[in-house]
Amino acid sequence: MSLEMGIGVSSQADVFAAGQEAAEQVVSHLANRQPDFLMVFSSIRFADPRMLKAIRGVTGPVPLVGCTDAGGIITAGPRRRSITIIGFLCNGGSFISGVERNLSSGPRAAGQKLVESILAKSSQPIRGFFAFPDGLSVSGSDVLSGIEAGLGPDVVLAGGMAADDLYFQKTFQFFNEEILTDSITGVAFCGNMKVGIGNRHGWVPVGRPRRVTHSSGHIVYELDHKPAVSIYEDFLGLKRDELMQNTLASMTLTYPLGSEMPGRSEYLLRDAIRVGRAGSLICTGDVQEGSRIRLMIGGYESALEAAQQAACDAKDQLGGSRIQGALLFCSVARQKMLGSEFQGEIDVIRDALGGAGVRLGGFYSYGEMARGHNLRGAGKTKNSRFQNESVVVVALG
Amino acid sequence: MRRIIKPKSKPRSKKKGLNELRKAYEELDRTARMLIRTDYLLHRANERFDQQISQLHALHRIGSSINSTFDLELILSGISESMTKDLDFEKSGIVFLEKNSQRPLQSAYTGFSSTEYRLFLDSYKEFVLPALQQEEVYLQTAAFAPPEWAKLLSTLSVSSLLLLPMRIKSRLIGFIVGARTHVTLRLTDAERRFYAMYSTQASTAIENARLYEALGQANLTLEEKVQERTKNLVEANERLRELDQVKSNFISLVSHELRTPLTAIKGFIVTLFHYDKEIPEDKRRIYLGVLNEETDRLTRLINELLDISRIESGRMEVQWRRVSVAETAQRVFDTLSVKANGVQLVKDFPDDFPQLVADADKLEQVLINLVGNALRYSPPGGVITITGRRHFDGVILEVKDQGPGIAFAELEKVFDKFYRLDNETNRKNPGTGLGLPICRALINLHGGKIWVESDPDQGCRFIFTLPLNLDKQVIPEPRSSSKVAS
Repeated sequence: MSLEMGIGVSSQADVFAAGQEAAEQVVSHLANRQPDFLMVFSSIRFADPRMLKAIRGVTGPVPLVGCTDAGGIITAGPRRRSITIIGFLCNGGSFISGVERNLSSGPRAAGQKLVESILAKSSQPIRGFFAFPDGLSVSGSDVLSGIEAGLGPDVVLAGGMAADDLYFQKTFQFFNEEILTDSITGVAFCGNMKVGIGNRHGWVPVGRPRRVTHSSGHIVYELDHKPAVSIYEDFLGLKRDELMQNTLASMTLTYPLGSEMPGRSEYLLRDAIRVGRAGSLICTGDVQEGSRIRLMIGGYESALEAAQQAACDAKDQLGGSRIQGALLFCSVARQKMLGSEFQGEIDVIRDALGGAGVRLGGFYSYGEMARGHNLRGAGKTKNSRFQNESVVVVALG
Repeated sequence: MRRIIKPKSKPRSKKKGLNELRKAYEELDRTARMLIRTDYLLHRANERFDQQISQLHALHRIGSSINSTFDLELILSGISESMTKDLDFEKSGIVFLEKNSQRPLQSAYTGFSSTEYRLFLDSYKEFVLPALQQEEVYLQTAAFAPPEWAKLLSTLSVSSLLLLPMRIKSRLIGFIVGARTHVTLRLTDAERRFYAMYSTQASTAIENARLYEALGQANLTLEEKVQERTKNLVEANERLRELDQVKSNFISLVSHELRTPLTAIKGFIVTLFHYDKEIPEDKRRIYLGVLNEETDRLTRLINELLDISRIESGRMEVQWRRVSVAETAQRVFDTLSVKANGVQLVKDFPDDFPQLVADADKLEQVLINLVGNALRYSPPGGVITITGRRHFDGVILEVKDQGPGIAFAELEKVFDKFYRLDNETNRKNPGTGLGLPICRALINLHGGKIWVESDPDQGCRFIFTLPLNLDKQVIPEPRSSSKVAS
């Protein structure tokens, strides 16, 4: 039983040529063997059917899932304005992919249906499940609960919300040769492979807590009986007009709302991506009414420490098995907060996983999903989370 | 009392402690706000800094790639590629305009299909050109565009369209187009400044390439000219060498022709000088006759040589007068009749044969030469005819004999200097070989042409044309008028 990963990247001007170049690198990385399955993440510039056609022209008609990103991640580090392809080859394993459209009309149901359709096609036990939903149209929490409902308790679950290079306008999902929006694509890794997961962020609370006095799903209407947006007016010193006119997410991305959860060392983070009616905040995931939230701030050292810890968590779960490669779903906020130092984070993760020999692939997302056997700080009953500002490290062995 | 005081003091200190705690809490919250605000501003500054670095990086990349070549096509495709690769435009193009008409002349594009790009260029006059004249950075987005622009954007399958005019000294030389398929762009002032710098960079590269091309073209033209002049010089040199050769041949021929009569004259004079007394009278007369003939021949030769030299150097002057060719022919017959030896001299001119303007002496010289030659070859009792006819705007004259004629191969050679037909007659009648070349030169001087036609044993026909030359300035000549009158 061995899982192999081949990585390809390209940023050529021509979409077709870029797809072809990256796919050729994957094949060459896999010692000139065709992959069994492909994950593709790209800048929205490449969200063009010609890119997928070019890729499958090289690899053959293998299943393909992926989405647009806010930067790709390869072994050497982060890559902007590019296509990242991860090719998987597994002797004795299988990869079952699926897609659900019209995600916004019922995110929970779509997540559940996706899992069910994949389970129906799988003959081997599922070890890992990866999903890439539209990152702007729905609450990530809803999607996650749908997926969880369909999936057995022992399966490692990870994923990232599709992004669009920080424009916060429209994201795309890739399925075989289709470019979709308002959809979710997913894949199950089946067979006797080992999957370990770690998820951390390293953000810390600042200021006094505020009570969520009115919220519904991923929309927070009031904090301490005041319009929710006032928290950003207070803290950032910006006027509401300014917050309404500009893309809120681009201003508040590194200062999410955090809610303390019993038994967990880290806060659950929520990005506010838009200002809604009457000063409400529309977030990427659910915020419980009645909970206490605080404004969170990230720091270089704590972020890197968290990344290292997530990598160690993932590695530990493999129980000493050799890591063949790792998938990284990293919040775009980390890239933004770390600025020109964002390469450092990938270096830390790679070193923690075992150094330059471990192949890395992944992307910068608008929200991360993680569920594992032993997520640090997770309670006994609920060990899944939809998170923001975090990094998900999935070690594959 | 103590019971009353105690409960009173406890809540007070508790309250005080609580107040202090609340105060510290509020202070901490204020500190947190300050912290976040500072952090936010630092991040914003850092972001702007990063953005500027990445923009400078893009400018540097485009600069180093397009300034490394003067090939306009490479520059255009380099800019178009940079728009896509460095600035994320899914579809981009660059158009270079024709100088005077300002119509698209040369273009490169990336991402657009050929149909889309053609449709875009079709909209140039209606949409693009007015937009380029409006703003240095012109942006239209499907979300906010007026209906006609929205239609164009939809045809091109794009959400945002950016137009950057390229100018050199305020003259529009072209423009860059960048389109985002999915993103609705909103430009900050900093971004607008960046795009203006970007198009300036592109304009400069294009202008440099054009100047270089123009310089290259000028160099090429110069080189072509040098080559052409060199070729002309080589040819002229060759011609000079040929002329030098002709001159040497001429001198050699002339020396030979002069030496022949001189040798004869010298010989007879020496004989007469040394043996004057011993030479009988009859022989002395023969010798003196030969001396006379050879001196005549020498004189004729020198005259003809002088004529040829004058004609060839352009120093021969023409005295234009009204001339009756029939009368000239008659005078020639009169002059030569003594040498006719029974050969009949006939002239055939119609009554309305026109007078023409010519140099009478030279025309007479031509006819004397031609009739003299004819007499030399005519058999006894033969006929020599001078015929004159109208010919187009002038006249055509013919001197016909009944001599042995000239072989076809030699028809043209007889007009070469010093060329003489190798025949019995010529051997008996020494000539200079300059008569016919002089005739040709004189006829040419009048604007006419001379040639000879002949069949063996059928005699020769020397034919020449003469224009009427009525436009020439005629010198009134008493002699000429008296001739006409007589």
